Amino acid sequence: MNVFSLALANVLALRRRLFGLVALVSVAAAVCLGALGIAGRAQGVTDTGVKESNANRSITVDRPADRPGTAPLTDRTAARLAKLPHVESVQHRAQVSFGVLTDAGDTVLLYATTHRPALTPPITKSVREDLFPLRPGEIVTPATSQGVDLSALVGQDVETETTRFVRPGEGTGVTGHARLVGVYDPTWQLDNPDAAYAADPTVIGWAAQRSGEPEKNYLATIGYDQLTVVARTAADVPEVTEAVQRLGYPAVTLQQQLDALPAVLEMIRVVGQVLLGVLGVLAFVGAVTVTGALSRQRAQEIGILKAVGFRTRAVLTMLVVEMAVAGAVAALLGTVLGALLGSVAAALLRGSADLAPYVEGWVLLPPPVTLLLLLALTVLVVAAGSLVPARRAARMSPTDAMKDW
Amino acid sequence: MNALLRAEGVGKSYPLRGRRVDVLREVDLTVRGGEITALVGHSGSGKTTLLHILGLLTQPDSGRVVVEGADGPVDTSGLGDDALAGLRRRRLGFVFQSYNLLPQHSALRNVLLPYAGRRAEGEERARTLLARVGLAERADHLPGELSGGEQQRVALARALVNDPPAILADEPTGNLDTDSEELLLGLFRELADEGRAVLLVTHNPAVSEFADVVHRLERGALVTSETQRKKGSAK
Repeated sequence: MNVFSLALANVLALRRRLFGLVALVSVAAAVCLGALGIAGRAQGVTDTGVKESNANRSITVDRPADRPGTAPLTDRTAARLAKLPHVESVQHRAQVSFGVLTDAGDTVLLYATTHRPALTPPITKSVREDLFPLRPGEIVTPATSQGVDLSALVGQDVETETTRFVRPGEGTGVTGHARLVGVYDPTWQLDNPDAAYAADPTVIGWAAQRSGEPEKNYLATIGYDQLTVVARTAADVPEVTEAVQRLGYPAVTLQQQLDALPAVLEMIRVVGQVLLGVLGVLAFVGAVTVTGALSRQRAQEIGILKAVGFRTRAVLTMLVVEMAVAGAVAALLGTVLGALLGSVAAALLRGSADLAPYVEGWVLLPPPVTLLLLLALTVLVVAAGSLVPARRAARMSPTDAMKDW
Repeated sequence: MNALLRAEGVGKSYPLRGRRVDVLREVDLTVRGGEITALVGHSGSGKTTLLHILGLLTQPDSGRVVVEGADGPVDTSGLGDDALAGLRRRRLGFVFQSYNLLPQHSALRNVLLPYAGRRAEGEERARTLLARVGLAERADHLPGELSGGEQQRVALARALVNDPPAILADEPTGNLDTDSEELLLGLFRELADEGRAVLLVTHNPAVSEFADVVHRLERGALVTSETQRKKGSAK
């Protein structure tokens, strides 16, 4: 009789005695798969949401102030940079200081800044849902700045003070008005701590007024103070950065800052890996224990098999295949349980606003290749655990195995 | 009639309380095809040990066992475990006093257990053998659902599944009632009539009287050998 079909028949017949092992391994596999599924999904969301975000693909190019031979950051320069390999877009930034006068008599010094879609600040309060692009005369400021709560002014016209060029080193104040349409989280400081976003014509107009340059010539002569080059993928960032630097422009990236994952995701990933190790140990010890116990209980059966002509290797194969089949059943059950467990855990985590974006979807299992590898590994570990006790049992002489003839 | 199984100068001893006890001493025994050979003796006389040695389940300390193989006599001394298992599977059939069926498998699967032939023909052969021992209708029953006599007949069908030339039985009727005993002995007679060698270890006089040749063991030595020639005398 074929050893494999005998092993399968034995597993069916001995299913009650194998229940403990199957339950142990399947529950361990379920916990492990659930944790890995959640960690994997969170990792995926992080990869697409953070790693491949515009911010992480951005290279900041500053004015080549101390490099006389290098062209200023004009529209022509922006067009030149846009033609570099792996560049998706080039966005400009102009910045000029101005003051906001509050009703309480405070003056808050801010920096009027053009908005770059790649680096949109986190809005905490606004008059409308989509603030950007801003309309002329609108500004968005930090929620607080220099000890003043600006969020209370959202929706109001505020008095502004800009500077007009008189002669080099001397300017005069110009009073005007702007509408404060939103405030952002002040911890966002990618455009300096006191950046206030305004529409491009507003910022360029104020900057030209301060420099004494006619507004229509400002961008061609003085240019922007910063350009943002957005690479196609996060992986392209180093190459694009080098290309920009070769053209003589100082360029830095945000990637290094964003590479560090949120600690909670890292923790979940580590927990998943620890559980994987625990699964391995449980499966191995379970297989050793169950195979050893079953071999002792089935000594007479092993003796009978050897007496009727089964070779040692055939008996060993039969016992190991039995455990491998039990391991496979446990792995499959563990997958189903893991999917359920992951879904329940994800539903619970979705209750937290901070974690909800990282646990999208209902069936949270690792990717198919990882899943198949884990299942195969479970079967292998269970089979490996059964090897030593199975070998010991298979090597018994038929007369020793069958004490009662 | 040809010798299918031969013990030549077989000796065996076991350690007991610091000294060795001779269980078998210089035993010569030939089991021939077409005969029922009975091995009788008191408890502890060594008959089961001799059966184990002849069945290649235990190695003798001295002497040798020769089995009639497919291509002539095979001296089994010095053969490895795998070679001995191969000879047991194809050339010998075993019937044990306590049947030794696997309780988790049906009668049919028990019969198929040692089957070494083509897979497609195995089930048909097993069903034919179960029909021969009168259990065609019980093929799918578990051993626990069969009487002692029926289990022993399943064991006999299992012993025959590879069509071995020799059948070795250790107290095959020890746990059976009279009717089952007669039925089983009748089957053994049929097997001998087909030319197979049948070796029965027994202390049951009814069984030994039924045999063609009776060997008596006393304290590990073969003391008498008588030929009864009672072929066809099943009760």
